[in-house]
Amino acid sequence: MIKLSEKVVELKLPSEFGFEKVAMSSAAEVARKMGFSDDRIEDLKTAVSEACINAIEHGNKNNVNIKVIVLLRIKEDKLEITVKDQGKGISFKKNNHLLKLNKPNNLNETRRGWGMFLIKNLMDEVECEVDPKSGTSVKMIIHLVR
Amino acid sequence: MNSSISIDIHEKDNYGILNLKGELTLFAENAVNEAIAEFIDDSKNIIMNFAEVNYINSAGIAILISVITELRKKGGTLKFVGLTDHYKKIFNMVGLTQFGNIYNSIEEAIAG
Repeated sequence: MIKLSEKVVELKLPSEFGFEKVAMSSAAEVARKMGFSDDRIEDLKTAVSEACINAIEHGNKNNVNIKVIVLLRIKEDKLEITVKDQGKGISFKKNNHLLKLNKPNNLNETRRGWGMFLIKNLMDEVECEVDPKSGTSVKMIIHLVR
Repeated sequence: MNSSISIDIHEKDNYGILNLKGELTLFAENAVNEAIAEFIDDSKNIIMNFAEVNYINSAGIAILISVITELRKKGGTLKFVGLTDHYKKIFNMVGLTQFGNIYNSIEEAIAG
């Protein structure tokens, strides 16, 4: 197992669906080198995917010429992943477990908006900064449990 | 970089079986809807097999919610097979498993 001091991996992705998989693979490889378990790596991949998709679609409006910035900060006991877009700010819908709907007939209204729900439930810590001028930044932290 | 999905469909013991292969994302919506439409007026009982699906994102979950919504209108049922442990967790987390049970195989899903 390679011991890594704090280092940063930076990715600049075109805002086109599919490129989130580049971030997923990179984050997974870094997490693997750090010694994260397979199931936590799968959690990480899903969270990174969802953050990138939000940035691509809602932040950068699928404009392939605008980049999604992904930063992977490797620390002694945790991995911090920041996903930034350059949009005007994302308003995150608050979704919840489907059974907690007050009116089951509104099931179809919950179709979208699961990205942030998954991020918050899969990562150890999540911080969002929304700036109408510079875009939205989602920071996700996953702690290494030895 | 559009992702792709292919869906093989057949009928068995009054179940419509959808064997999905590839990725369940936004781009899979038409294919899934067309596959569901093959059965929804007849058998109404659907088994979705994810054994060859390597990526499901929130847009894919949205598609499944739409499928559940349509099946509920027709009184149909939905069962899931072939999910990895990770996606079983995701389905539970979202609440999909309250509307469709997870089985280890198509045979178990038909028997269950």
